[in-house]
Amino acid sequence: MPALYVLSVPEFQPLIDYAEAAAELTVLAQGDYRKIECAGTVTIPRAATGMGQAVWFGALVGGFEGVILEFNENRLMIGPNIT
Amino acid sequence: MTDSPAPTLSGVHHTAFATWKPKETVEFYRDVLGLKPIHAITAKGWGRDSHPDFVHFFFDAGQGSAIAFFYYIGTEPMAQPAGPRGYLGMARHTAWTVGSEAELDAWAARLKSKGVKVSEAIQHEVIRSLYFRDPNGYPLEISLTTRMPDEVDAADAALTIQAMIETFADGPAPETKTIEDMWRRKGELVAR
Repeated sequence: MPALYVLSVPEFQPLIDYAEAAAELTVLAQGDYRKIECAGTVTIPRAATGMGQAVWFGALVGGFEGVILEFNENRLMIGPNIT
Repeated sequence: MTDSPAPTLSGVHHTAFATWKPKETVEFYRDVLGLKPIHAITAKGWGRDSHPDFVHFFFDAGQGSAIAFFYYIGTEPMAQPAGPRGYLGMARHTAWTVGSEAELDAWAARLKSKGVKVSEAIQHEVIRSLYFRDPNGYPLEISLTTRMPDEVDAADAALTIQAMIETFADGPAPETKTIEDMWRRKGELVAR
């Protein structure tokens, strides 16, 4: 299942807030991180997070599982591993 | 055998750069930035044939730190002392700190009023920064700490560094690895 790990610090909180409000995303505690996962594709639009580009482009620093389908100034999409 | 702890450092004393624009450099650091010249050394080389005569001058950058320059008299100027334009020329830079949002705003206003091309304030994870260059092309930054990194950040940094080294420094063909491989490895480390 595709997943994004987000360090639980204020500057990345908008990612967690977005995921908690998105019906298709699940947020799990993982130590100092939150694991955002999805049965389909983890999709996070930058505009919905309100994040500036300098922090947004560091959004994957916590690591991930799956395949990055798209990561640009507009959107992050992580899909399942192709097996 | 246990390793004894490393001695501590107490901050930056000075960093130093070569300049072939001594007048412009002084006018920028002293008059535009308002940094007081606090020390200057003039020397007849170091007694070696190849070492040029020089002036080594220092500006107070606060809290006991200084930024310093060498003017090597009679030498051929480097075309691009700061390095090429672009990311490589931005890598080695000087970032000073200020203590408040008001001070960061005051620096932006001062630099603009003195005709210095300065960026908007860029919010990074834990700092907000202004970017500009000196007359030599050296990149400068003034930063406000917006969140002091703590042990959670340090633990995360340790995992990122581990993922970086394992992804790019080991394995049969590290040149084929991408940042995606590093982030995937980081995820494995976080999931442990």
